[in-house]
This record gives sequence, structure tokens and C-alpha cells, in this order.
Amino acid sequence: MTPRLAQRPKVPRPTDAELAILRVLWRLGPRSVREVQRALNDERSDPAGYTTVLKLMQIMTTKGLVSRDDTQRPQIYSAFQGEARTQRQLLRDLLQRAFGGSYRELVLQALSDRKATQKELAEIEALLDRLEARR
Amino acid sequence: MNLQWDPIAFLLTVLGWTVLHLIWQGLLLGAVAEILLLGLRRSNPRFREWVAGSALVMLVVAFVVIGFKMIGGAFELGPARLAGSAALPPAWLPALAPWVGGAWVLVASFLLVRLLRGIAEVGNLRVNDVTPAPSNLGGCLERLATRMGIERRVPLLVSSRIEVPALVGWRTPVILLPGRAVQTLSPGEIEAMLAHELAHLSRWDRWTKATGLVARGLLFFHPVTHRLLDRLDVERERACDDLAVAACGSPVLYARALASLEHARQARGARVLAADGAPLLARIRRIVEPGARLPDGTGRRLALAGIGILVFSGATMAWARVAGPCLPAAIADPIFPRHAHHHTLSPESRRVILDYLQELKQNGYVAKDRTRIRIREVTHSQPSNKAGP
Repeated sequence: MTPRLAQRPKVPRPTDAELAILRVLWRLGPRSVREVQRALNDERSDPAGYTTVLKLMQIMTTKGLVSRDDTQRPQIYSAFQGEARTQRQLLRDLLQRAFGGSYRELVLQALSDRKATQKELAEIEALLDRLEARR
Repeated sequence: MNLQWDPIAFLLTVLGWTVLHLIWQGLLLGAVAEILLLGLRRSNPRFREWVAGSALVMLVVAFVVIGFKMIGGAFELGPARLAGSAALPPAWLPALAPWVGGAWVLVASFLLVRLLRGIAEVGNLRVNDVTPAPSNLGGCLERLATRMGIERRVPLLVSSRIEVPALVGWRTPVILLPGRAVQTLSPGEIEAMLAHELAHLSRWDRWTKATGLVARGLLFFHPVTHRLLDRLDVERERACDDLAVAACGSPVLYARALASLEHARQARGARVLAADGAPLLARIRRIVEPGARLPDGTGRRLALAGIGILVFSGATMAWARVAGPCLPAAIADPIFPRHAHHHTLSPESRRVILDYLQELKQNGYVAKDRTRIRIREVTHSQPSNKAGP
């Protein structure tokens, strides 16, 4: 019995690479790393190495995006959340970002949003050190 | 001909024409503002702020005034009357106007939703994940406020959700300090940052920022709006820097505080590449190495004269017969061919127009003055056999 909506754990938003892996799992069902990698490289232009895919899927397991079946060798990974739910979640995130609005435009901040570069910070340090030494 | 007078189409047409007219008027006002700002580049930032703010206000006023004039004069038989001169806009422009208006409404609504959500987020920010500031900082704020001559007392809170100190709220403002900064900055540096926020408080900055948001909501389509708003932000920060340095006593101390704050908010190391200039460096340089400055008296007079010029140009453009592109005839003629309207009406066109007028009258339409004159011109003119418009 699937848990009630309120009790289902909240799954984080997948990155682009994670989304590609999830699509393979949704299309083919539970698969091992080797099979996922082969399916991925069929459709992509730049092939991903086995270790890369393995690392990604291990991270996805910790994040809760996929679940791993350890009882067999090789290990079988399956998507934790269905495709429809993930798509709804992504759509909601997109709308949130587009219509979200930010407090930063509305408040008076001491520094601007744009962060300084290493080079800029170094120049600032040099300038201030020079002035303090002069006093 | 079945007449269905559509108020929505009418409003969209009005909006569309207003937007189109504002494009060239905005360019002119923007050019005047740029020249004035260039002339004031060595003066107090306050004066440049006045000029940029006035230019923005004149743009908004022009928008509203042109809009009303469009409503007043829109019951016309042709788009020609919208141009005071004989030069006419090209034939496809009037058809475009309602679409432009529709696009404006869509984007303005979208921006309004974003604004409302931003306001909600601001309200959230001052309530959630905030703790009162340690009492030594509160005392420091008190002393600063007395020193800067500020009577109003605002709460000082520490928030775990912001990276940079901010003055938040309009009618009941609070100062929020980022948690990380409170841990890593020295007391002197925190005091410098408080001075900056108090400077914002003592000026009308919250309200000018709010007006800027309204201007951006109405005039988002014009690059001059964004340029002026950015300029206003920059000059506002510079003016507050000046006030804060005066309260701290030492420019170098204040600059150190800014640099430390920037260090503190670099979560995972600073960015390595940047295409745009180094704004923080420029800001700090201006604080510690100010260079020659125009005396305030001269600057103020220049700024006021500049504002006068802006108001005059804006008012003239908006109130004049809303003339379309005011190009000299030699340039305008090939682009906008002149029509002597009623002389080229064919008999069929006249019949159509007269029938239309009859139907309007039956539906209870009462023409305004200018329209009545035009109707008389059309109905009393001699029909010609030339092919009409």
C-alpha cells in the first residue's frame, strides 16, 4: 500500500545528469549500473564512463532519488519516485522560480548581489594595506 | 455593419499607443539625463540621485499623461490625428497597437505577481529564523543613531537566511544582520555596517526604492528605465557610504568593513572570472581616494537646473499635440507618405464612413469636439475619383 501523500518523504530536485539517469530507469525499469550506462551512452553524444555513472547513482541513492537492491549481484537500482510525480515537482519548481520574486530587489542591502572575484578582493586588500601603512 | 463597441480592445489600443509613443520620448529624456549626469560626475552623489530620480518620475508622468490623452482623443476616424503633424505613422502601426497593449498587460501582470510574492518573502524574512541581536550590538546601534542624529529606533535582528546586512520593511523597518557576519566581523566593522544601514534609514531610501519598483512595473519595456534604476541604486549606495564614513570617522576603517563583509559572504571561495568591471573596488576607491569634488553649492545649483530641464522637456513632449516621430519633412516623407485624408476618399469609402457614422449616432454615440470637426470635414468634402485609402 503506498503511503499517504502527507507521509511520503520529500525527494530533492534532481540535477540534469540525475534526470537523465532517472529517465533511463523510468523507461527500462530497475536496472544495474552497467545497463544504465549503456542506455545513456546510446542517446548521448559524449559517452559517460562507468565510474562516473556509478558515482552519480551512489549519490542519488543517498539523496533518496533511487533505491538500491543489494541482494543480487550486480546491484539493481530502481527509481524511487514515479515519472509523473517528478515532472510535477519540476514544473512546480520552475513556476516558483519564474513567478517567485525575490526579497533582494525590495530591501536595502549593504553590498550588491554580485559577488567580487578573487582578483578584485586581492586588489582591495593591497589598496587598503598600502593606505594603512602610509598613516 | 454590426457595431459592437469593445472596451477591452479600446483599452489595449490606448495602452499600445502609449507604449509606442513612450519609446521615443524615453530615448530623448534618457539622453538628456545622461548628459546631465555626465556634467555632475564630480559632485555629491545626492545630486546625481536627484537627476536620475527626476528623469524616472518624468517618464512615469509622461506615460500617464499620454495615456489619458490617448483616451481623450481616441474616438477618431483615423490614426492620423494622433500625429499632430502631417507626417503619418506607417499603415501597419495602428493595427499593431492593441497587440502591443496586450503584451504590456501580460508582462505587467507577471511582474506584479513577482512583486507581491517578493513582498511576502520580505515579510517572511523578518519573522522566521531571526534572533535578537546581542545587547552590545544594540547599544552600539543606539550610540550610532544618536551620533547620526536619527531619532527613530529600529529593532536589530540576526537572521540566518541573509548574507548581507539589510534594512528591511517600509513602515516598520528592521535591520537584519547575517549570522556569519556577526561571528566573523570585528565590532568596529559591524558598527560601520550599522552606520550604512542607518544612513539608508535617515534618508528616504525605502520610499525611493518603492517608487523605483512602481516605475519598473509600468515602464519595464524601455531600456532607459532600467539604466536609470541601476544608476539610482549606485548613487544611493554612494550617498549612504558618504554618510556612514562621516559617522565612523575613518574611510579606511569603513572600507575594511566592506571588504571583510565581502570575504565573509564568499561561501565556497570567490568567483574567479568576471566580465564586468570591479564595482566593489571602484566603490572602495571612491571612499578612500575621493579626488577633487565639485563644491556642494555648485552641484546643487547644477542639479536643480538639470531637473528643470528634464521637467520642461518631459512636460513639453507629453502635453504637446502627441506628435509622432517629429522628423523633418525631407526625412519623414519617404518613410511616412503624406496623405491629405479627405481629398483622396473615393465615393465608396465615403459611403462606408457615412453609414458607420449613422449607425454610431443610432447607438447613442456622441462625438467629442475634435471628432465632430473631423466628421464635418469628411462629410462636407468633395468626393474624388482617385483611389482612396
